[in-house]
Amino acid sequence: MSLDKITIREARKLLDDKKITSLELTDFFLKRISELDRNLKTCISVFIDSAREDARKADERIAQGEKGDLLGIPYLLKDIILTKGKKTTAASKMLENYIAPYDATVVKKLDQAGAILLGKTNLDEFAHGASTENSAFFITKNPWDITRVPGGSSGGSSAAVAADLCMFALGSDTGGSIRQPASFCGVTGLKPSYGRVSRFGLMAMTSSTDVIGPLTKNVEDAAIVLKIIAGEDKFDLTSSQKIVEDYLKNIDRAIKGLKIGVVKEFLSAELEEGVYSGILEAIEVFRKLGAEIIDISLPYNKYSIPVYYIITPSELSANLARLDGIRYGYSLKFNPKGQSVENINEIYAKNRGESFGPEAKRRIMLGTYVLSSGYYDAYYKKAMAVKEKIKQEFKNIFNQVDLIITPTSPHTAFKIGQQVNDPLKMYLEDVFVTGPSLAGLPAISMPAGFSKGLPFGLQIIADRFEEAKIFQAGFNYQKETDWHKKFPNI
Amino acid sequence: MSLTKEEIKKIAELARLELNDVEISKYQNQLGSVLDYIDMLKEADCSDLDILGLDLEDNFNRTREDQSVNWPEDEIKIALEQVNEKENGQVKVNRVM
Repeated sequence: MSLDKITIREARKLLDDKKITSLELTDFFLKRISELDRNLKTCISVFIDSAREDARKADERIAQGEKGDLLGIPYLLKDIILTKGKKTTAASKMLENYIAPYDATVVKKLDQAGAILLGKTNLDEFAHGASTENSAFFITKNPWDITRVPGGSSGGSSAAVAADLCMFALGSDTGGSIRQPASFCGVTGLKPSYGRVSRFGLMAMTSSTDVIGPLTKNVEDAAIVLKIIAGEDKFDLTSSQKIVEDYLKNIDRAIKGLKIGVVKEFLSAELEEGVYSGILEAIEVFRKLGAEIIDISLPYNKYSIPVYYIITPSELSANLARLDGIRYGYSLKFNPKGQSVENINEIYAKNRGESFGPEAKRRIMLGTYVLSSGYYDAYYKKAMAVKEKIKQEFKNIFNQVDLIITPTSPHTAFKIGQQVNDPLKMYLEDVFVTGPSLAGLPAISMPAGFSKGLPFGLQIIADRFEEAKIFQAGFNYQKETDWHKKFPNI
Repeated sequence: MSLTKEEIKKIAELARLELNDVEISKYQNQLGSVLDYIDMLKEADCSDLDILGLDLEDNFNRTREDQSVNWPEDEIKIALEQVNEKENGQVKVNRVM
């Protein structure tokens, strides 16, 4: 029986019908990882023994008649999410040998659900980036063209799903880090509403926008995973107390009459030609499905990148301040009696200076600068005000429409090395995806076509906690199209 | 906008980052161009706002009792294994005072 490109829904049926075992499924992906990941470099760690052991346990649970959407389903995890007793590196030299003392809440939930952790995926160091080139260890390749980046920062997760190395992967999204790589790799990637998923055990970058979400082979699988990982957590007081909906209940309901906003200023000359025409086609699919297409405008969205690059560095410069090499992390050998390095600040500066990569340093310094005395009002306070305007703008639009459609990225995956020396250009990658992050809104990227042989995504944004609407629209779109069924030849 | 070498050194000192000369001149240019770009926010009109990005609708303070909670022994063990220098189960650091 072929397990190639199998979805969670399909695997579930095979497992429940006893046609395959979780161990067989797990071995299938472990084998693919061992064969293909030498070239693709999606994984930082692979846990062969514990994955096989977990699969055997899942098989016992299934044999005892237990039901569960993710029982026995193998997945990969972005290596910025803590796993007890296993390395969690954030793709940083600072945490190269760090062993997490506890599991993140999402990991606990997936473990209880019986999902099988196969390994942990590469990312831009501390999730700072849009290409995964900022990993301190190695560059992940885009499975569609290995001379190109997979996007980022969840590039290991998106490339692994595209290369069919797992059934699903988790990523984190602060300003586009799930959606942009999903677009570049031709997979489905969901950023849930801010507060929908607990971040306990996710290394904090920008605490006001960080969210954990799934990368999957289709929209239905994203709904299945979100249902398991969402919910309130006493260890994360920003997690929402709102009841988690059954996202699958109405997922196949027709979208006739649904009002979908199209942002006219996003469909401009700055889009790659193939992306532009592809997005217009996608809009027509929604029209054919009975949706009402409405032109809208988001004039403040153009400020989302500058706002993001004030708020994000500000928050992460504080969040990364704890990394000093004393309690854990990269540490120079020093003599505590005080011969080699006398001054404690000098120890911090050396540990941090030697182990943070260039982008982490840039962002820490940018944050330190914009928060410094004399600049705080001009930068941080202004950014917070504009952020509020961006939020209000979305809020007003959602009084008129149910959903908003945009391209995920202005173009397809770029070449490795093409823009590593231009941080500003890299920041502009997220021009369509950062606004929803700042406003705390849920948004998905799903495959919408190819431009010169490379996949690109369509973004659907909904009002806060309206994930069900996104799933419904996405599910209907994927019933009409088969972009999500295309896989790279590797 | 370009930052001076001294400004970069000052920021790096505040951020506890040791930088070499190559890094200092690189960050001078790169941070300068990012700050130039960020400057476009000056034109964004926010005069009608009376709150500053503080989402009071669904972000509110949730407090809990301030009490010590026993953490599992095995997790404490792993955490302490990460420490660079320790003595009697405690983290050992350089003299601060």
